[in-house]
Amino acid sequence: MPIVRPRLTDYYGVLLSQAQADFAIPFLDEDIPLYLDPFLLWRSPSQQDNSLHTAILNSFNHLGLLEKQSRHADAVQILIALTECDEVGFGHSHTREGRRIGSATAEEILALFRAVPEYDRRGFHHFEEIQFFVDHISRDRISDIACNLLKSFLIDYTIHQCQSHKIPSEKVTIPELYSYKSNKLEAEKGIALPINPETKKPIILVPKRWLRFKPWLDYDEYVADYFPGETNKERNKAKAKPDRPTILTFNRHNYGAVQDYVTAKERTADDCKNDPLFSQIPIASAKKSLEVIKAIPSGAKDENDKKYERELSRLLASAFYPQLDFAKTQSRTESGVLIRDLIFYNNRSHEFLAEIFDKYDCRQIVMELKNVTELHRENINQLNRYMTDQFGKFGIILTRRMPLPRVFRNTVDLWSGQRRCIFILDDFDLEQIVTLYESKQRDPLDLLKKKYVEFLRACPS
Amino acid sequence: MDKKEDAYEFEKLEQQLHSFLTEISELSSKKPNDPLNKFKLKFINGMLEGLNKLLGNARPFRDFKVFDVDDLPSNSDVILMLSQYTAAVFQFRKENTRRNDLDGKWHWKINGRKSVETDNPEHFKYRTK
Repeated sequence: MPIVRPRLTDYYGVLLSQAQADFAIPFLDEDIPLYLDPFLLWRSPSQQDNSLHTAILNSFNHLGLLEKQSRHADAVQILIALTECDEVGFGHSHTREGRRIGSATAEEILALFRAVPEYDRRGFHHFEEIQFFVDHISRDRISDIACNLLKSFLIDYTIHQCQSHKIPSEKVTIPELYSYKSNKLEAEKGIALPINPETKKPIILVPKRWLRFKPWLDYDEYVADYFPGETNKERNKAKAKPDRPTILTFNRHNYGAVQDYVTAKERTADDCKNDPLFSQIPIASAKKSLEVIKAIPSGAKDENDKKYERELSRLLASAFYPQLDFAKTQSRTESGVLIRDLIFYNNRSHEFLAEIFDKYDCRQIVMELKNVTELHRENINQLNRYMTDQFGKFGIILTRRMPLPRVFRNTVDLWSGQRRCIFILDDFDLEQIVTLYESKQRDPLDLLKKKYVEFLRACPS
Repeated sequence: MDKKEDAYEFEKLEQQLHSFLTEISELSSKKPNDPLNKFKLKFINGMLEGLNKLLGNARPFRDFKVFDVDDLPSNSDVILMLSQYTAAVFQFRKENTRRNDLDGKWHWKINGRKSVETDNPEHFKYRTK
C-alpha cells in the first residue's frame, strides 16, 4: 500500500502521532531536518543525559590520546568512520545517505589536540568546538559524530521504543559500532532494529528532546556576535567580512576568543531548548492567513491556486495539530487538469479519526483544493477516482463556496451507492476553524466532525 | 406538578438556568460566534433535560431538547435557547403557583392543592444585570 511521504510508523501500521512519541518519527525516504545537539545533553537535568555527554567527550578525547601515542593512522580511521550516521537520518538529504569527511579534514581535527594547548592538556569540554577551527565541519557532522559515539545507547533506546510501540524489527548487523570499552569500531551482529523496507537498511530512533535546528554552539552566531575585532556594525560599514579561513586561523591562534564564546553560551544554557518537530503558527498569523485566503481570487490565474495551497497548508497543518500530523502538499494531473492536495497522516488519535479509519479504511486523509467559484460534479468524481489504497473511502474537498444542492446531492449518492464519504468545506468553514483555533474552547478538528455528522444526516439511513 | 420534590427540583433548575444565562451572556457579549466548550455544554444539557421533564408540553420548542455537542453551538446560539427557556419557565411558574388571599403567601399547586411555600412569581423573573 503506497503511502504519501511514508514514515516508519505509518508504514508498519503503528498508530502514533508525533506529539505522543518520545522520539522523532523518521521518514523512510528523506531526512528529518533537525540535528542532535550535544549541548542539550550537557545542560539536561537528567543524570543519564549528562553521563552520556561525558561518554561522548571521553570517546572523542580518546582520539587525542591515540594521537599522543603516535597511533595517528588509527585515530584518522576512527574519526572518518564517525562522521556519517545514516541510520538516524538527520539533515537535509533526500536520500538518507551522506558522505564521510576526507582524511585531510580528519587530520586537521586531530591536529587540534597538538595545536591548541588547552586541548592538549585537558581535552575537549564541548567537542562541537571543532567547527570553530576546521573547515567543512558543520552542524550535520557534529550531530553525526555524536550519534555515532552514542550509537550503542541509541540502539538500546530504539529496541525499547520498538517494543513499547510494537514496531516490527529484524536482526541486522551494524558494521561499525563504536565500543566505549575498547575505544574501537567493531561489527555487531544480531541486533534487532526496525528496517527501512525500501532499502533494507536499519533505522535508529533518537529522543526528540536532543534535537535542535541549529546547535547551541553555532559557528554563524559566533562570527556574527562574538568574533573579536570590529563590531558587526563597523564590519557592515566596511563591507569587508573576514572569510572563513581567516576566522578559523584566527581561532586556532586565539583560543581565548572561542573560550569566551563557550563560557557565555554555558552561562545562558537555561535558554537552550530542543526545537519541536512541528510548531503551530501563532493565532495572529492564522487570522492573517484567513484574510489572505479570502482575498485570493478564484481560478488558477496569477498562480492563485498555488497561493491558495500555500496558505491553506500552513493554516490547516497548525489547526489540526496535534491530532493530525501534516504529511505534504501534492500535485497530480488528471485528465489534463492540475490538482493540488493536502495530505495528513491518520493516527486515530481522536474518536472521529478512529471512526473514519475503521469505517472508511482511511490511513491518510486527502484534502483536495479547488480554488473555483463553483464546484462541479466532475470535481467530485475526480476525487472519488483518486480515493483508493491508503485514502480509503474518505475525502475532503476544500473550495471557496458551497456548491449547488444538485452537486451536493452527488456526494450523498456516492455514499448511498458505494459508502464513500466526501464532504465539502468552504471559506465559511475555514473561518470557523480559525475561530476555534483562536478561542481554544474546542478543537478545530471538531469542525470536521460536525461536517461529518451533518453529511451523515443528509444521507438516507 | 405531581410531587413536592418536583417543586424543589424546579426551583433549583430555575436558578441554574438564570446563572447560566448570566454567565454565557458575558461570554457572548465579547465573542458571540465562539463555540461553547464541551465541559460547559454538558452541564447546560443536564439542566435542560431536567427542565424538559418538568415543563412537558410547555417547553419552548417541540423539536429542541438539548444541544448537540457535535454541532458546535456558539455562545449566541446557547443564549437564544436559554432565554426562550427563561420565558417558558416564568410562564410555568405563574400557572402553577397561587396566592392565598388570607395571609398573602404564595404556594405551589401540586395535584390542584396548595403545597410547598414559595414567593411571588414576579420575583423570579429573569433580569439582566
